[in-house]
Amino acid sequence: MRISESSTPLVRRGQGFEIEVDGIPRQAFEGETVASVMLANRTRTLRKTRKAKEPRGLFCGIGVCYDCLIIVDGSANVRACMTKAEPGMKVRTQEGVGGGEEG
Amino acid sequence: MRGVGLAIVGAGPAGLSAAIAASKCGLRPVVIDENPAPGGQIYRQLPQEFQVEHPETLGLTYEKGQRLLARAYDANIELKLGTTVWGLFENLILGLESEGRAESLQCGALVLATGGYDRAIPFPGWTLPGVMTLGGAQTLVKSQRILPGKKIILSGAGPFLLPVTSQLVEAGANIVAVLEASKPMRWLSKAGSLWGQWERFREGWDYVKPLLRARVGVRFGQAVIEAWGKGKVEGVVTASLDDDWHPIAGTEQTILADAVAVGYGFSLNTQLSRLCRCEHEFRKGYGGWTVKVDRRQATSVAKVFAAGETTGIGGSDIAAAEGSIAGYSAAEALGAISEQEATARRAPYLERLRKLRPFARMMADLFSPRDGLFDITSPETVVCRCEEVTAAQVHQAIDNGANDLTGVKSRTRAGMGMCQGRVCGASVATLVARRTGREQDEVGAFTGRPIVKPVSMGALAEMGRGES
Repeated sequence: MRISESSTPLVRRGQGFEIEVDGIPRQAFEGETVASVMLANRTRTLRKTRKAKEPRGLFCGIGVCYDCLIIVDGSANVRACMTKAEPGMKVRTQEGVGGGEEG
Repeated sequence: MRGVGLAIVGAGPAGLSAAIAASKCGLRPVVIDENPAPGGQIYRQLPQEFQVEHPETLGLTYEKGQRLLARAYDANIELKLGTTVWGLFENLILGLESEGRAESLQCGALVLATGGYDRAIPFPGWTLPGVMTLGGAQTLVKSQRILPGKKIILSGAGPFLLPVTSQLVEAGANIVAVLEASKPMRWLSKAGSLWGQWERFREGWDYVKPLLRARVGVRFGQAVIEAWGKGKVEGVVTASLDDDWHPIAGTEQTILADAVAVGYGFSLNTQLSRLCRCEHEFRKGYGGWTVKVDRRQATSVAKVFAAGETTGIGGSDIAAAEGSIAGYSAAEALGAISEQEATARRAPYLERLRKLRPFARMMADLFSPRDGLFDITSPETVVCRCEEVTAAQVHQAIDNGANDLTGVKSRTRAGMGMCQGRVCGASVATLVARRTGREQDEVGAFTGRPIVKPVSMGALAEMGRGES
């Protein structure tokens, strides 16, 4: 959920654009991370684990835990919390190690 | 391969202060940080693309951060941002990666100011989406202007709980409960150390004000012991804690929530200091394994210095003072200033540390998780989030003969995943210590491997081609 731009402190987001998350166009703003865009659009599950296929979401938020791994423009194991959203980006939630084969 | 005089890893208060100090001695240090902007976690800024109308409303910490950043931008410093350090090799060669490209950097002296990150204690349901660390929640609200949920619960111990709660409240979040594991009665016995810490009071009051305004109360002596939900967190179970922080049976309460932020102090980034074989020291309440340094912030390895949280949690003021000392010491080691000058330049910062340290000591003593709280890690709880290893599997490994972290790692794969044991290290150490009756410092730490953060094979191959 995005914080209203009229609440204190007054912070205005960057330019709006769209990225694709699992094939669905989602509103994003310049300066937002992919994790933020997904959270703001109520996508909490960023990946499913390799063994138990358990859903995982944002955990440490600062690039330490590697739990928010997603697929960005075909590259797997990208940290959603450390990756800035860019116009036209195609993001997919990740299953297991993110390749075609599950290891 | 490129060579530089001084390299500094980490652009938080310690790293920037070290860089500013070194630049005053005629050096042009290279400061490397993974984040797109300097400031570290505490002075994390809004993205450049965001615009603030009234920066003065952002508070004291923001102001202090802006002052430090302004000094850093004025100084003769090379900032290498968005750059991950994935390795450290002989002759102080750093392996770097930025935007999919790897390179190496040889330095004459190195300052490690790698900081720390939240320590969470595993409990059933802590892997559900919506459960995150206090730092994760803070980063969302502070630098991304995103609320982690509609009904938020915070649970933890120590001084970090307050600012995160306060920032969420100010952003209009609906906080359904704030749980602080410690009890104020114990604080009173330590109140003597607070005398003279007026700046701390001002900071504390700044954080309390919004809570009072919004009528958000803090429940002392309680903790979240379980999170539940289908595919995402939908609620938690809380419990009251006894004096040793054991959850008390019969005090459980269920509260609905769609976001839970937890944190019991911090763990420290010691991967690089381990790779270059610095001595470490286990300090309970200070983040566990800390890099051992002397009064010059020198580690046990020549030309390698460490400053800030990675040498023991103390807060941003201590980190900045240590950073300045490390910067002058590194300049001395490189021959940029004489020993006499270095001693004179370090003196005021040593005096500042002498004044600041009693408060850090009190915090470590009051808020270091007490033994009973580790009972919340049930046998079925996943402890290593990357490799999906449960507490029961760690116990099994111990019963099969593992009596330290290395033994558990080789038997269970705990600590071998993408995060390289950063998140599970403290938890696995606690499980081993409790089960074997040994002390935490006896069970060791996960050993650092040459690649401390994932880097793609393509980037490495490209680097090899460029340098051959």
